Amino acid sequence: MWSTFLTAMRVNLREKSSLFWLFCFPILLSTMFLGMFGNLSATYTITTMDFAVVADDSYCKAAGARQLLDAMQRDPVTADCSAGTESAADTTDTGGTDLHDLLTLHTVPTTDEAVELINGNADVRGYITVDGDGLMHMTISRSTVSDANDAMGSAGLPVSLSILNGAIGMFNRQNVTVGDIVRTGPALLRDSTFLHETQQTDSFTHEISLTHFQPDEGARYYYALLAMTALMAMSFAVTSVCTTQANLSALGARRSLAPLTKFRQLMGGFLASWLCTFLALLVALLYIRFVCNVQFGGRWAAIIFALLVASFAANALGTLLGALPKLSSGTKIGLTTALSCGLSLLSGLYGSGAMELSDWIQRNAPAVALVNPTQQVTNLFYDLLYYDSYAPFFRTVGILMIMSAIALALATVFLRRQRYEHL
Amino acid sequence: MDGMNTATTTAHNNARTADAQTTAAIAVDELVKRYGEHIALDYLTMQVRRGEIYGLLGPNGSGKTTAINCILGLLSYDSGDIRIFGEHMSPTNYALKRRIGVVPQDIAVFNELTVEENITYFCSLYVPERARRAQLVNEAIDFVGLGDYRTYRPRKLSGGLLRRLNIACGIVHQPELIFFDEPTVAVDPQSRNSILEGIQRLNAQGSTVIYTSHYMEEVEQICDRIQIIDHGRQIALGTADELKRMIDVGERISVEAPTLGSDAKLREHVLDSVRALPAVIDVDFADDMLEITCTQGAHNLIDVLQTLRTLDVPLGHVSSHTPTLNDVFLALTGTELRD
Repeated sequence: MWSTFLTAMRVNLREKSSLFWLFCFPILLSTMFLGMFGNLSATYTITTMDFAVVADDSYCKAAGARQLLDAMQRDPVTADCSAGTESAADTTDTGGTDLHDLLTLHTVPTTDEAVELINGNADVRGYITVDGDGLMHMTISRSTVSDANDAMGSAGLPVSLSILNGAIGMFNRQNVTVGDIVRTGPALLRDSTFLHETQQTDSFTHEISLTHFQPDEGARYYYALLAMTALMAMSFAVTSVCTTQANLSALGARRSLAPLTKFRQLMGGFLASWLCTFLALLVALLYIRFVCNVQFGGRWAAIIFALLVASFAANALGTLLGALPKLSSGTKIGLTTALSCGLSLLSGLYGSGAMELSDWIQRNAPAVALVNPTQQVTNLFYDLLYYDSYAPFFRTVGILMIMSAIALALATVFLRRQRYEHL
Repeated sequence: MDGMNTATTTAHNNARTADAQTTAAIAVDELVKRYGEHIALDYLTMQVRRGEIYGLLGPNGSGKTTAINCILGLLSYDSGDIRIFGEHMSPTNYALKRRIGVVPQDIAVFNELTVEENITYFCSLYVPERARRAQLVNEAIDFVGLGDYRTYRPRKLSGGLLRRLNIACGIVHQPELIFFDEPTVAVDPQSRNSILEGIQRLNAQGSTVIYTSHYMEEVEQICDRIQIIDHGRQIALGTADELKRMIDVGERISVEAPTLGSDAKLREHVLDSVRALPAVIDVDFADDMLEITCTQGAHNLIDVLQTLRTLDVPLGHVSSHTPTLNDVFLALTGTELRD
């Protein structure tokens, strides 16, 4: 069995197509992902936007509006307003957020000049005006609309625009509310508690952490890639089984004539294939973690265990594929590729559409997700990143082990045959 | 310890010698193998003596490889009995498998391993001791003459060298019984001779050899006894000479006579005159050549030439051949061996 193991290792590691598809292809694909999805994690990060502000009389009179805009800048601009106001930046409480970096404002005296500026300079996203009632209005340029719709090309812009729009909307609502109160019940303005509460909004929102790690939108694609790699590595086991079957190859026939039990030959091949699959996954994982900088949750012992489980399951399924009767070796290898590519679609490998499909299946057809090995291998890493508890991880491990046991049991039934009707 | 080992070995050898005297290397009795309606082996019987080179000759599809696969336990069969060295052959009779070597028709090696690694692997399936294995591998490499190609992968080898590697993998554990299934297919003449000489050397060293081929010249050249099979049935069995004596043909004479092609009247007269000779079985004319088939006889060629001279037929090239196994096959089945 030891010599069979060593031989299978040599064969697996010298087979050029296996080396490419299992060691190089995941690295190439994850590098591609890095280019395609690298800024996905920046989708929810605030980016500083250049905006023009029309510093007219209305703006100068609207102390509250200026205060808000100053609070959203790292270095607030000083508008040339004759009516002196206290320094907004000194008094504004941003609630510990990073809203300081939301805006870089450029003051212009009129709306026409603001329009001219945003049309002439694509870096200036839009302009802000304040009307006679002290309400703020935001206008964005056509190029900004276009950029905001290109999620890949302008990560962070949509969410930054949304924050700005929300802040302006909230300011306007509060402004209108306070105006109404002044008109209908000015006595309330003497109530310091009421005044304080109208200025506070952060009590409505609490930031909590559900996981021990920061969510990473792009990580799932890399996990799905690892799952695809694992399933493609089924080819190791398929080849290993086919080269022991007398009805599938001349080599199999010759090995069947040797005085070594079929179990030992298969076991040697299985162990070698398992180790090769593990190595392929480990190389891919290390590249994804340290070159693509994708997080895995930092629990390395569990990650290595996950790789062992994933590679074992892939080889168990490969053994079953290799043992299927009445199919040629070529057909089985073709099936391996088709299955790994097809099932990877259902686990969301091929982009946001596929990821939505994967989520839809998880919600509406959980049984399909349950029996999809690529989904379960993806889940292994997902569980480790997103859950503090190991319970979901071990549940996924259990599912993969049950899958493996069923596959190996069926393979054993098929492989018990010693004599053939045809060769 | 050494003395004990020697005594044990001697006793073992004596037992084996006695065993060898009483049992055939292979005994196949009325073997039947069907593929649906098609009968691949039709009550085939075979007795291979120890120490001989036994040829299994037949056209493609005659059942040679099927017979070997049944004997080796790879294929199931419908009825009959197979014994090797007196033991019933089964896929799990590992002790028996250890005594057998197989050189299959198709190249059965790992393309990813070197020549030496391939031979070592197949040796390891039979010989667990590493030290002995290394020695056997070296001997096998020397035997097939692949010493200069130890580190080559099979894809870098020519067809002839690949066949030699295939042979080395089959014989490396020095088996008592070796099956060669068409080992010279698609091999150049030089490599073919080398392979045939190697088989004869293995036989000289004590191995019993089963050799299947549809090349009658090879079988005739190296086999002690030949079994001709067709449609899964035995057509004839014996030494090459015995087989040739089974048929009437003793000599084939070819005479170049170009003038007969343009003179139909003379041609008919010549054919009738030659056919009238007592030893002539058949005579035919095609492509300016007279083809005359005769029975055994010491003066067949002289008689034919005298007849042609009497008729003033100008002669060109003349040749005489003894019958081949193809003639035997033709006579027994009515079809050419290479059809």
